[in-house]
Amino acid sequence: MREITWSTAVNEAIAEEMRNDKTILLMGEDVAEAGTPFKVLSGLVEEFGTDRIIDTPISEPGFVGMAVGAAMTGTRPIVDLMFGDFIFLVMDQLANQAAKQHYMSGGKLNVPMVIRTNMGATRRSAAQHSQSLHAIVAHIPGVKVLMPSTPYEVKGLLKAAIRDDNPVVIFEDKLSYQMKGMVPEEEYIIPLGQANILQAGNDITLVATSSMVQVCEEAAEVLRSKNISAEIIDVRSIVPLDEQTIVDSVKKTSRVIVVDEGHQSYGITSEIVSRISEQAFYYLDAPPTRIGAMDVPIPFSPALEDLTVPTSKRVVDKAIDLINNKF
Amino acid sequence: MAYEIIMPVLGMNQDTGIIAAWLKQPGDFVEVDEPIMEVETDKVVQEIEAAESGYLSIPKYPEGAVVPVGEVIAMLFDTKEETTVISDEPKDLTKDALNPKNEELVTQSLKHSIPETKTIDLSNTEHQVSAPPSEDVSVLSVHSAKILASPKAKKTAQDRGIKLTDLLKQENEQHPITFKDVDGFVAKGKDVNSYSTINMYFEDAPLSDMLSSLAQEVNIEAWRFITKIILSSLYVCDVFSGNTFAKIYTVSGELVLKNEHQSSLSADIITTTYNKIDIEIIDLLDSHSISTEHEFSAPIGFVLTHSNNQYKLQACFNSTIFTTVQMAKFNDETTKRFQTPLRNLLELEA
Repeated sequence: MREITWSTAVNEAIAEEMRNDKTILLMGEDVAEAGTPFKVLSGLVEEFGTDRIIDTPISEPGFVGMAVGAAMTGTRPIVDLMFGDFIFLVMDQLANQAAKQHYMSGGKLNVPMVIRTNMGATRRSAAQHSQSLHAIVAHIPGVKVLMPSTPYEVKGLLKAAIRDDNPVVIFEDKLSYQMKGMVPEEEYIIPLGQANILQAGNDITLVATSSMVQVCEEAAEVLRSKNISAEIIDVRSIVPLDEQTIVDSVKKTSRVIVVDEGHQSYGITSEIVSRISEQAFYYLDAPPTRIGAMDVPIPFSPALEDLTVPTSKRVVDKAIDLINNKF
Repeated sequence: MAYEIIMPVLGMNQDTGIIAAWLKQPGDFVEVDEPIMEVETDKVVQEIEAAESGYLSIPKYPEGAVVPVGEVIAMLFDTKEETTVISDEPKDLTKDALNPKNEELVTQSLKHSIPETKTIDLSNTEHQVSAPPSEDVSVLSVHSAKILASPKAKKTAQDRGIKLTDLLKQENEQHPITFKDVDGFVAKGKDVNSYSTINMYFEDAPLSDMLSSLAQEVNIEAWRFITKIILSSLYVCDVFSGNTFAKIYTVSGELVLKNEHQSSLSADIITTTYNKIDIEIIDLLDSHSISTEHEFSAPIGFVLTHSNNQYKLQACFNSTIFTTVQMAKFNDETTKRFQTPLRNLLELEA
């Protein structure tokens, strides 16, 4: 084990997979010499050349369409979508084409494509570069959606995504690129659809995605000082969703808060809470609760922006209310 | 127990409803949630489901009648026999029930029906056995209102045969009832300053004898508040509090409390012969398949406590009525036996 950054973990995952499988390509805006604005992909073009690390024109629908076609004809493209907000531009290629090819061709075609993109606010990037839009993709059957929380997680999940024969979109929190974490030197993958119980607890379950895992870890620390034992579940992949781990945990603790950085309404939190209500109803001792981002465009003003996203304080306050029957 | 079927409010501005059709005949047994009649308003015709199970009485209004909302239309009774009596003015029965004359009648019928039962007047003991009637009326009126309780609390209460209405008496009504409230229910009842103690001494008595004595010693006032118990499960749990160890046996599904109102409606219910009761307790505890339909009058639970080398068996009749059997003179073997669940104990005896 050694400590590396998120960026290095992503870089390693892609490089390792590309060395093993010659059909893997990487394309996107500024992915070659520039190594993306976040410098995540630096060094890859030197090793694999411009035939496999391809700088594309500034046209997201165009290069995602290229990738879908390339995937259907025998390659395994990784597409770098510079900001998650641009997912709207590629929705036809992703939702109407990539997600449905396997089904509509009667299983004759696969689209083994990975879209690497990002999410997350509080980077002062304003309303069009700060959104967390994973719920929009997760709504479409035929696409897998991953939300890694640490360098270890992103490496293992990205490698699994590259090997998967379905279109996979992996959302990375753009504030996490410099996050450091312990990552084994030897190869590993994290199978898709397995949630991770980060910390066992008895009083309340905190279900979290992406960077909300860290928010919940902070909250659990505060709750521990108040003698409240919280169980933290890192969802890891929202499609497929490891329902069983979440439901089993809630059956044990009887209380749950689901935390996700997408807008609260019609989001991932609603979906997870709904499944809990259906499957653990008679085990609930308090309403299953969710905390998402406010239903507003993300403000540019730092003071306002920080108010819109879930914080550990909000999680702590909510948890204490639920435990004290204030609902 | 009898339940009123009233004309429901189906619309915002509805004053009356028309009984479009009766889906059940007088004397029919109606299950909970079974459609009982169709009610027509100016907007809809809707099937109305029974909130409780029971035998349908002769309806007060025929099909086509226009009935003000909230008006009693018919009754649901526990026995088919009761349905043959037309409840012409169900609301007046409440007045009758509170009429002292009527109360006297009930008491008379009670005494008449159970001549052999030994009656102990507990009015002289330091605690009141039965809750004052006024309190019980309030409990029953709460019954019809929506009780806020978590799904887990409701499920646990149902499994253990605890009525949420009984919990409301003790719990802060500000908050919804949670699992903790239900779980602590039996133990809490012990602390309520309204149980009476009957001291009974046994020297290595078999449990069956003890329960049978217990059933006879119980004050008739206590029995009067219990008309029906449907047994659904036997619960055994350990409770530790300081240096006191308690094993709690709860044998109960549904406890139906009765106040003066109900007793006048169905005085027959309390004519159960109490000598039989203890036998039924034993039978039920002994059998592996506990029927949910089995009806009898008995304590809803027993609390066996051990403190300072003294064992106490308390019979719990509802949250506020406890009867204690002191078992000070047990030898070691009995002590050991009492630490095993009741059911095992009975099997050993058999």
